[in-house]
Amino acid sequence: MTRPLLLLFFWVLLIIAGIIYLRGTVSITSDLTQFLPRGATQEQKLAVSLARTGPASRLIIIALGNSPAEDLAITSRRMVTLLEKDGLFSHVSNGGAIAPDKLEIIFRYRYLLDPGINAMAFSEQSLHHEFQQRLVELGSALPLTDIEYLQADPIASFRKIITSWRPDQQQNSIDGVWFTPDGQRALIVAITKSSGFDPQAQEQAIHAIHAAFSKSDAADGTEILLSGTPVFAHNSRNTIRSDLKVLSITAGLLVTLFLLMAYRSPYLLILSGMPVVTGLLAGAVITSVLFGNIHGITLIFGITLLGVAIDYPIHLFSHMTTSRTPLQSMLHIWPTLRLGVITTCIGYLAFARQDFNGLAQLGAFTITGLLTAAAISRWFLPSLIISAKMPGTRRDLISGLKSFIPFSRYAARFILIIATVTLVLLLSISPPEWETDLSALSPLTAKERQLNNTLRNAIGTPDASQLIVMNGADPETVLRTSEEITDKLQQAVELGLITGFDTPTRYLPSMATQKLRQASLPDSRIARQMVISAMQGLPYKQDAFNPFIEALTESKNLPPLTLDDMEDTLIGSKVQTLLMNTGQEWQAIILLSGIDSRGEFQKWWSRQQFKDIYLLDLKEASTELLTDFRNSTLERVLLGILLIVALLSVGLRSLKRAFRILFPVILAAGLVAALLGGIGERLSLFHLIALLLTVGIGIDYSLFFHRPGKRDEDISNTTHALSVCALSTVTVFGILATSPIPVLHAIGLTASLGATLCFFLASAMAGAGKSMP
Amino acid sequence: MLMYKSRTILFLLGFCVCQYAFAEISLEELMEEFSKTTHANAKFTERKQLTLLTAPLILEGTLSYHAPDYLKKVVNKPSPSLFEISGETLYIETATEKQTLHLDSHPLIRAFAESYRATLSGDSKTLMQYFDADLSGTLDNWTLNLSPKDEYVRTRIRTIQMTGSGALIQSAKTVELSGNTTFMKITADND
Repeated sequence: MTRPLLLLFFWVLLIIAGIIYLRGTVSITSDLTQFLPRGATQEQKLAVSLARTGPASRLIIIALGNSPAEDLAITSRRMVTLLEKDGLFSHVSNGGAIAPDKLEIIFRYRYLLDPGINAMAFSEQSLHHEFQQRLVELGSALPLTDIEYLQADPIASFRKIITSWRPDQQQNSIDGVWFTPDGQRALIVAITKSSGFDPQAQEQAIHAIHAAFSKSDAADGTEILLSGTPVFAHNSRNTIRSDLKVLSITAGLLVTLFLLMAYRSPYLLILSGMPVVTGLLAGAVITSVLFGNIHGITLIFGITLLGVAIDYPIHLFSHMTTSRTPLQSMLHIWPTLRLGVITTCIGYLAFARQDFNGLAQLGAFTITGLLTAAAISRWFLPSLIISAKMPGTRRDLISGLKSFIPFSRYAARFILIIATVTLVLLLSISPPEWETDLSALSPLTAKERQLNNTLRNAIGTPDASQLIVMNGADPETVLRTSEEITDKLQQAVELGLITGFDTPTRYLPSMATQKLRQASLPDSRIARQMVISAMQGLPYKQDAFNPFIEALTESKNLPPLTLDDMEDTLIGSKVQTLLMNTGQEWQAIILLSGIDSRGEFQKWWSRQQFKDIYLLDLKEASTELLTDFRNSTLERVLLGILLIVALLSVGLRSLKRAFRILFPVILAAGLVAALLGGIGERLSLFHLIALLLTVGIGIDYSLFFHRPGKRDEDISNTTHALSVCALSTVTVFGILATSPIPVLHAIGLTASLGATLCFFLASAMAGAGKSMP
Repeated sequence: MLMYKSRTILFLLGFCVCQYAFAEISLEELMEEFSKTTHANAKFTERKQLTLLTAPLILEGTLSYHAPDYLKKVVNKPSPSLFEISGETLYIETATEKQTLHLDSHPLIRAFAESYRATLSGDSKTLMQYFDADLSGTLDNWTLNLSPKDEYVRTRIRTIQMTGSGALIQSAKTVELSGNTTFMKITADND
């Protein structure tokens, strides 16, 4: 075996080992909140954790449309029945009445759950009043009254409890089923049992919904639409997967085409892929070893490294001449290439900060990937180039570019001046704006987001962004705290500061409260006396309310209702969205609705001086978090650029040369930001990260354009190399920019624009300085 | 043989003579008669005999119907309340609450509603879907016995018996398994 073949064999083994390792151990997360820092303040931490596991992360809205309303209503009811049986959902509703069989436990515990229960409730007067009330109901238009309920519960506690649980808002309904206000779509709300960050379970739930739809025998042509966080997560995983596939295949094919045209050698083409593939694999392995998982965003971004790492073999191939061996060619460009690689990596070192899981992953992935790709290009590729034709005679599309590059001195200066003026003008006319909406960062398209808002409004689900959060050692502790707040919040409602609130204790009072109610229940002897005297003057038979007296005795001896008792009941699942175990602690959430003036309510809230209870505005908290994160990212990116400047100055041993290398790149980066702002893109942290990538690419170009070339052939080779580099990079990122997924779009647009500008400006800078001493 | 034959002829003759006034009416014929009605208004008095109470409750009010599926019952005495069915939607208004429900979620009310509504609209198909119907009497004086088919409804309602003349329901009596009975006397109101 010859040495190159042995090397190749060794490389293939390494790649296979890497793939096997990754397949076995790596887990890819797609959860944006994991990419975000954990949050500086308690409020931010809660906001992040709630975004991952809170009620909103489990809510799916199902919309049925494109058929007559009556048909949709029937399908809606059938689906609810099917989904309720499924067991994957803690709550499924289309606005229909709660089936009575699910309420048995509530009926049994009615005198422990009804907030109206106190000693006064069993006085002769109030019993008499209730009995009279029932008589009026018996004489009403309703054909039947449930006599069993009436005898066992003549004070109607059960009915009062059920009525109090009905949602406040009146939704639009047709045939007793929720519909959008225009009557076009029937709506169902389903809350999954599994938490929002268990992608597999959420996927199952979505499958179950589609299965229920196909089993429900819907009218022909009926369409089903799903919305909500779990659906978005599912969709984005799928879109990213399929989008990335299509995009990378397209980009790969185009780059392949360029390389074939540039070097006319399939063998060189295969070799050019080696650094990239090895780099990606090494990046993935190192990241998963360091962090335990790889974030989807890291992976997406890592794959864009393709656009950078492909440059290394291109430099080598373009600089090969007949007079040098491949290794000699490599050694010839190595100082420049090395400086470019190290500079780019130094830039990413700025991301290494422990509390920024996402950025740190990105940094680790990129640095490992780039170093590996460079190392492969340096120590591996040259010895593999055995029989390649030297790219001496190249007449192709690249020569088109080469015909006006390098620019003449005047053209170059003109370009630089125009660029600078444009930058200043753009920045002063429409400076770029920051993206402050967290949702804009998720891989959702604007259309999906709009649909979600429409459906949410139609269904009247509380916005769930205004809430109060409290933690405690056990459910009892948090329930008691929640009860204390409830009393206060009632005052806020009376003051008109809020219109209502939803607390877990509305469904499950603390044991203490339940015991208090139990203590207020009369024993059977007193109950009998009270009932008999309360019946005076009313036409009830003597023994009519014996079941009531028995129920009171039974209620007095019930062990208090707990969350476990309610498991698998409809109301239990409602409670579970507001009361949950966070791992170490228990957490209760109170949802607030109808806050008139946020400032007023906040003032009132701070006067109450609750300790360790947090009033959260999830939107505000996430915006704040995002702003903080973006500022820190900006800080990191600037630090990265500073490190690059420092390194370059040292590496080139001349501030002036460093300036000439850096000026076009920084100018290009600034222009990219300004242009993005000019076309109305709001800058997010993905733009920022891509900007750092651009700076890395740009410095590479700049370094090569400024290489002290002595011979014409050398200069021509460099121009060829950079033209191929720029074309392939712009192609890869340009294709990414066409994606509707915000992350891909942001990275693609920024980097393709950046690479183009860097190429021309760096070339112009080299041209402008030609005659300078 | 001859005797038998002449008796038969005599019977047939008599049948023909009396057919109009005394003939046993079939459900189809009665339904046909009802289907001509597009709307109806009536006053009613209802007597609820409940096992829970020592004395019956007496209710007074009005009923109205519009073909094909609108039915409203308004109680004026002893206290005002309202019960309205339109299509598949049920609306209830009492002194204490107002509620819109869907008939599907309330099989008992559905049974009641259809006993009136399907009869009034002459919709024998719907009627037979919810009840076993047994009709006896003549067009001028018929009795319709309805026994619910639905399993759940059967645990609550034994029968609903209606009497009437032509396309007018004159009374309705509901017997529940609990022993509660309701008797409603209906008089046409043509104002």
